[in-house]
Amino acid sequence: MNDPVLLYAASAALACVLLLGALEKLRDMAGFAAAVSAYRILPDGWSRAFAWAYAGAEALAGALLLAPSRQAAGAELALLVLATATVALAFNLLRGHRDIDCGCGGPALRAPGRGRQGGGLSWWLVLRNAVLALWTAPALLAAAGGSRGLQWTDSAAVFGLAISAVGLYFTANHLLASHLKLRNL
Amino acid sequence: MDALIISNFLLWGVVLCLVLVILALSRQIGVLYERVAPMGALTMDKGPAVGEAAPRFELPDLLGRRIAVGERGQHSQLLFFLSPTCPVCKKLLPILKSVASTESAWLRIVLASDGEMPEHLAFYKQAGLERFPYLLSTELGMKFQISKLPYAVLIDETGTLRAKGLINSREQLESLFTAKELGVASVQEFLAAGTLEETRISRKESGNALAG
Repeated sequence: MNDPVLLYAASAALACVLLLGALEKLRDMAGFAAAVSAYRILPDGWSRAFAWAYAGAEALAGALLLAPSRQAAGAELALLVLATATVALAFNLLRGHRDIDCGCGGPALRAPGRGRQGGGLSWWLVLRNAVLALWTAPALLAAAGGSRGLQWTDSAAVFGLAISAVGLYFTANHLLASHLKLRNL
Repeated sequence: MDALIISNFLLWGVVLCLVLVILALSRQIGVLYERVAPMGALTMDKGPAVGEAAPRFELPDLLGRRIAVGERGQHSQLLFFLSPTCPVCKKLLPILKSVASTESAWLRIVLASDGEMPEHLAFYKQAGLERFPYLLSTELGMKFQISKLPYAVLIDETGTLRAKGLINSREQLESLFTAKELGVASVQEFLAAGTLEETRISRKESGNALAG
């Protein structure tokens, strides 16, 4: 499990997902703050501050995952970020409050040309976040023990795995968005 | 060993291409859902406008009964323009019969056409349309400016024209009822207003579907 190929590929993929997510949130901070307040968990005044803190933590986790010696810290922060989002999601799903913007960004969850974003919440989002959380496992395990060195032949596997993982993540987002649109049709 | 390394690199190349293809496909599916929005009966911008009082007629049908069109009454009226020689009209006849039973609480269907009496009478009997009044009048079609068939005009119980359009399917027929319910001239106008949320509510309430 703590083979360097897995470690670097999983960390790079997760970093890519987190950084892209943070970038998207930072570009539309007002929209993300509105999504946070739509979750109706925090008191009204807090949504804006929380939105900034969340996007900041997401970006920091992504950056740390890319720094070779800080990957464990990045993985922990990423787990925290994912857990926060997932708990808020599950909480709203459980109380049946599902017709809100999930605020989780992703190219497909934002309906183009329309003011209103996304298609609501679904348990698939929780599953998606759980899979993302699994990607932190290699970095957390690598902190525990040593591993073999990286060879040049590993580059294809690292690069391929990371890009495939990110591609599959975006595919999942697109399919999820279509699924939600169908549900609302 | 070299062979393994080369095949490994090649395989990763193939995997990445496949991932790209899947991503593009799922994106296209999303775009399709966006584009294939509900689309109702096509309204051609001719004849009396929606919202105006419908032209009034009192005509004898094929069986000699006097049928009033556009009068104030208890029921809404669906004028369905057809022709014995139009294949799409024939396809729609079973749908018309089914709609006549499901919407009988508020709707009466009147068929309309023009041409020679014997031909229409044979069609009327053969297609089993006895439950509908069948008007033969060139003037009726002229007044509503019907240029394409099958065409339907929905007139409400106060004699006001509420929706009209070229009909090719059950969904397009029902889109006229939905248009009347929502108080819009056509589904095209409704979509332009961009209030899809309301559609969802109205659908649950009425069970009438905008065309999918």
